[in-house]
Amino acid sequence: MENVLEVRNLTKSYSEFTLADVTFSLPKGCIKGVIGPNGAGKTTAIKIIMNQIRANSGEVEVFGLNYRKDEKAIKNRIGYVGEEQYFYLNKSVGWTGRFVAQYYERWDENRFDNLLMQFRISRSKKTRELSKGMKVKLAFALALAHDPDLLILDEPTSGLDPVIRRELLDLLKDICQEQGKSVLISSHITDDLVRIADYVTFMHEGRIILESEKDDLLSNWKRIHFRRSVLPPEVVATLSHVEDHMFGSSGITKDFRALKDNLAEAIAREDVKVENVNLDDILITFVKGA
Amino acid sequence: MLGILKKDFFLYVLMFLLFVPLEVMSVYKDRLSWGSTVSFASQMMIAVLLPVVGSESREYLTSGYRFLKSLPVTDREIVQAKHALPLGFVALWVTYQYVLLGLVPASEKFLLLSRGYVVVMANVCLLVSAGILYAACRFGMGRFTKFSAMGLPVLIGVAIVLVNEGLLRWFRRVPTAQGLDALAGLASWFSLVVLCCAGLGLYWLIVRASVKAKAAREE
Repeated sequence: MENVLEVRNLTKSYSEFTLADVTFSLPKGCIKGVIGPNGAGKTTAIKIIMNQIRANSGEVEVFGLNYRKDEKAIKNRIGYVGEEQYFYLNKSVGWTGRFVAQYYERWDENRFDNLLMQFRISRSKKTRELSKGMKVKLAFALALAHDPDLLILDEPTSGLDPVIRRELLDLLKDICQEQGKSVLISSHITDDLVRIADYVTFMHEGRIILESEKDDLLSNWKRIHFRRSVLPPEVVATLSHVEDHMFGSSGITKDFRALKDNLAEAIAREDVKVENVNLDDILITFVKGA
Repeated sequence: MLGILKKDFFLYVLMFLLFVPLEVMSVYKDRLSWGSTVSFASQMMIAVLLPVVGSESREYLTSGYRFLKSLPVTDREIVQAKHALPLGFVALWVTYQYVLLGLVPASEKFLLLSRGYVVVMANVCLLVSAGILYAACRFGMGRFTKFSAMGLPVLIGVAIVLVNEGLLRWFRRVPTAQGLDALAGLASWFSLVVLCCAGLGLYWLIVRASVKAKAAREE
């Protein structure tokens, strides 16, 4: 499958943080979620991908192009919503739209109008009068009005109420499904990514610690509830975060498919129970284990 | 680039429109004099430098550059747009003052000296603008915000008043007829063109340095 984004061996050092050897790609038409705790390096990686900061080393290729030669061509095809929304605060929404429109070759004024209507944002309102949620919606409207091939979203839903979050995520999903657009979205709200992502990349302390298809990950990572007398020690040894409780023990397996046959009888006898884990559990497993 | 030009254009136009009637009234009332020539150039300095500082402070206070970096616009275009307006308005001021000097009757020597003075001050104005913009690209306005918001305009105003005052005193006291002739001799069209080219050349070099500084700086 063709990749719209390829990131190779990115490193960026600050006095108290280093982004180390980050490599990943985003296939066309897919949504990739980047998950990590605060300070994991998600925003730094995205800022490098947006050419807002320079990496110490490594390469970023977007649509097969690089920023050294083709910054405008690349950004013309990207819709970006950052962690914080920056607009000229003393200007109106309409002015902001007209200002941004001058820079995009495929700007569609009708689409922008429709998005403003859908988000219930008045053109005449000053951007400083918008609430945080409305600013994010305006950023989405600006990012989508030029029909981008790739959306790059850095924690776009953090701080938003659940209704607006759901509304924006549904919009994103529709855009990808109906128009084949690609999305790179970072978030520490893993529920958001479970809803929309095809691939997930886990980051921690400036490194990628896991990258996988979301469905594959969720079907392979399971929480096992067991009694120690039932499960052989060599199987227990393969589990992470084993905890002993009053009525037994539990642990997380990263490879349920490999264990499934061994556990089939115990599961049938209900001596072992298997529970789905969510992306939070996986993240915590890595963060605590690190 | 056009978007950035349009956005900042208003500030420059406002200052131009504010000072032009003052000049016209001054010439209408007192005719041309050394005082009016010095005053023209000072007004040009104020009318160009204040918008330079104002637009940079505004970009900083509204995180404008961060906004621009998310759009398909390169550092080069941003820097060029920011430098194009002072250049354009200094040219406008010089043209306007030359027209005014041509319309009001005065001695040939006075006109030569006035034209020369206007060109020298236009160069100074351009280079100070470029210096401010370079500093903003290299260090960011954050470091200068309080200073730039209040201190710099006051400093520029005080400096201009002091220079004016000094020049006017000098004109009243020192120059003999021979001295003025010698000065007027320096202010030939050829030397003015050379001076303009040198100023523009320096300006272009500072623009290039600003592009590099902007590209190296993380907002």
